[in-house]
Amino acid sequence: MILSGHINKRIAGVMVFLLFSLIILFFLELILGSVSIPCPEIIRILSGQGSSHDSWEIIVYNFRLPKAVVGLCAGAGLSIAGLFMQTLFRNPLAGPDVLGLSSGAALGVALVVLTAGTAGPSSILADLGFFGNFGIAIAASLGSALVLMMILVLSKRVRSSMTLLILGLMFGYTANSFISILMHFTLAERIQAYTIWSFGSFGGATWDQIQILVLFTMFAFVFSIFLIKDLNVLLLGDQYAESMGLDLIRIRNKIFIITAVLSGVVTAFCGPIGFIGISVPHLCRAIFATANHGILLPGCILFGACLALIADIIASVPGYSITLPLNAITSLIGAPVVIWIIFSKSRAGMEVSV
Amino acid sequence: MKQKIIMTLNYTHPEQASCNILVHLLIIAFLIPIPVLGDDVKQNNYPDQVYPEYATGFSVDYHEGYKVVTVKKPWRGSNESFTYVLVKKGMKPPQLGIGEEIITIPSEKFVSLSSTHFPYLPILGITSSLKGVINKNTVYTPEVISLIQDGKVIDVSGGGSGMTAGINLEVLIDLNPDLVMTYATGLPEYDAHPKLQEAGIPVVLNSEYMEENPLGRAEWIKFMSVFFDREREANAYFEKIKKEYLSHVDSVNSLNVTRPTVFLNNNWQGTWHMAGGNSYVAKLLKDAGADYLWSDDTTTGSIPLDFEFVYEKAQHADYWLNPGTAMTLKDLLGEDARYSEFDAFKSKKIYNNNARVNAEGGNDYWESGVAHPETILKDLIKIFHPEIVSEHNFVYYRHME
Repeated sequence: MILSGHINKRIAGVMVFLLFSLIILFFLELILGSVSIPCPEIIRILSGQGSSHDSWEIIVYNFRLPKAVVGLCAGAGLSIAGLFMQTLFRNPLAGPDVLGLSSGAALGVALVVLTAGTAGPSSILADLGFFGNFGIAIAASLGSALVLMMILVLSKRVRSSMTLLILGLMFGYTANSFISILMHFTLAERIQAYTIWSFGSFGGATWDQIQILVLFTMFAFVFSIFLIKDLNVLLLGDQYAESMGLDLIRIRNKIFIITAVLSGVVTAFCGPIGFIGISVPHLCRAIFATANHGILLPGCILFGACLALIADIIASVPGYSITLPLNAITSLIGAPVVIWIIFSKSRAGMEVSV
Repeated sequence: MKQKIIMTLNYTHPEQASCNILVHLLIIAFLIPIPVLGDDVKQNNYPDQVYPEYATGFSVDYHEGYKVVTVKKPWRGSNESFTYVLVKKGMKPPQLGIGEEIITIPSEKFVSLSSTHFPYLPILGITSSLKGVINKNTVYTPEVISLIQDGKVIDVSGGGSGMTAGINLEVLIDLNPDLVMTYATGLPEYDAHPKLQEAGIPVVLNSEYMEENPLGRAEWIKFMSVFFDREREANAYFEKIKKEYLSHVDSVNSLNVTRPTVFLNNNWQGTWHMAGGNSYVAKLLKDAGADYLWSDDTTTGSIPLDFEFVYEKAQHADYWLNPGTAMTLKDLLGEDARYSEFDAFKSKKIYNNNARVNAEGGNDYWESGVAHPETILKDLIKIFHPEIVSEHNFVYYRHME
């Protein structure tokens, strides 16, 4: 794609701005929290000089740093997954959850959490040595992998992407109805545990789990770079893409796998984080004024990570001991921004598109 | 809701009113103080009466031929109250005020929709009155389990369990109970009592879970006894456990022991739900001679805290209690590796209240424990000051290894 020098410069400027914002937000995430730790102390801790309080060192290394890394990966991963789904289905309402992957993950989690303390799937996982968050992550991965397999099998027979979109939604409804039935048979405190999981959080994962998250998201990022050209062609329509010599089903399956890995692994460790995946691609298209995935991809990574960190900083209510549900915050701060951008764009004659 | 706050004065009988006039005349005539005659009448009718001493959620008034029971705090944030007029079988009921309900006593076909009622049944000697329960799989009280096994007690659950399941109204109506006791949350989608009332089933709310004083919660045995004319048994039982509870509190206080610091519950997805400083468990910890780190908090429910905040405050705490459903330290570490940073974890001073849990997850701490605050207190004292109760073995608590 040929871009004029002016636009190129503007895009580069926005990218640099986003990158700096991300770095600043990452450090803010380390500085701000329920326990107030002075800035110089944080710098000393990060530079490895230790701290006057042992607990502060542990808080920064074991609580805030993992949370920041998880937030970064989750925000970036969900945004890319959302971008891919919107492009593939050419539907502005598509997000990482349209394939029913998040619902599959939620069903896996519900099976474990809602049977905790009884002779159910939770004890099977516990016998294998997986407890708590790790057990939940495994259950969520299995759940979304199952839905992915079904989609891949159907994808071979179905030509229309729109049909797949509907099938994905149906998988989601099916998984959710199983969850309702499970909840119906469960004690109140376990329902509460599941509800809290569904609020979403970056603070539940510990270092050994984060390695998995980082590994998978990095793999997906690198892999998606090779898909940029194909994604741009897909925007022109399935038939046109095929006439350009694109193997539609193969490229579709590649996109599905990346999306499944990203949304599956993020949902596993953070719970179903809403809003970021669907809104960030729109924000990026509006800001960069382009449909070129070569620009949108890095844009979504940076913007998604920024938005996730901002939401998490607000959700931790710096200076206060309480926390707020993360999912509420992502939508609360995200929705007005999206409304404003869409509104201002449509007044300028540029309606939302994919 | 139809229920309204009713003043007891409204149902004073005409005969009683005339009695009072007579009394006044006597006072005027002789100018000497004499006891109010009405009270004497009550004493004669009911040799055993119950009055709440610690519980704040209910009251009982005894009148000639009937009793009036008022539930004052049915759920959190409620300013409604529920009034029940208890009339002996075959007796003529008094005139009712607005929203009052007639309950025929003593109950012989009793359905309980909360497992916390079960431990009182054998104590009051009324187990055979029980005809229906909810969630039969989580029941822990042996007397009730054997009735369920014999088919004498039926599960009236609506197929599921917990708050969302509700009840199978048809099965319940078929039982034809003369008393259904349940609890209410104030959320119409969960509460059973409006629907039961609509179906014409005598339903009574028991809100013992609202009591934050352990003795106050156990005192609801008195509330239950009123419906079965078992006030004498209730008083005897409560006096016994009260004496025992208070004597343990005294022995803790008299020894002037150092109070070890303690924190509660566990983290879930980065948020730690700590019990409020005015909660039931906080009161127990105080009575057991422990220093609960959140005792200056003023809430009764639980507070959602950031894990890092709890870590900062509780890292050097001596004890950690009630860490969720975990059975071993390994389970706990599997849930979150950061737990190992707590001093209480390093010194293995972690105790959980899940020593008595059945296969379906029913925990006896929340069943018979409600009726036995003195035993829970003894368990806690054994944790913090074992020298005081050296002969006691853990009942509800277990040391996690």
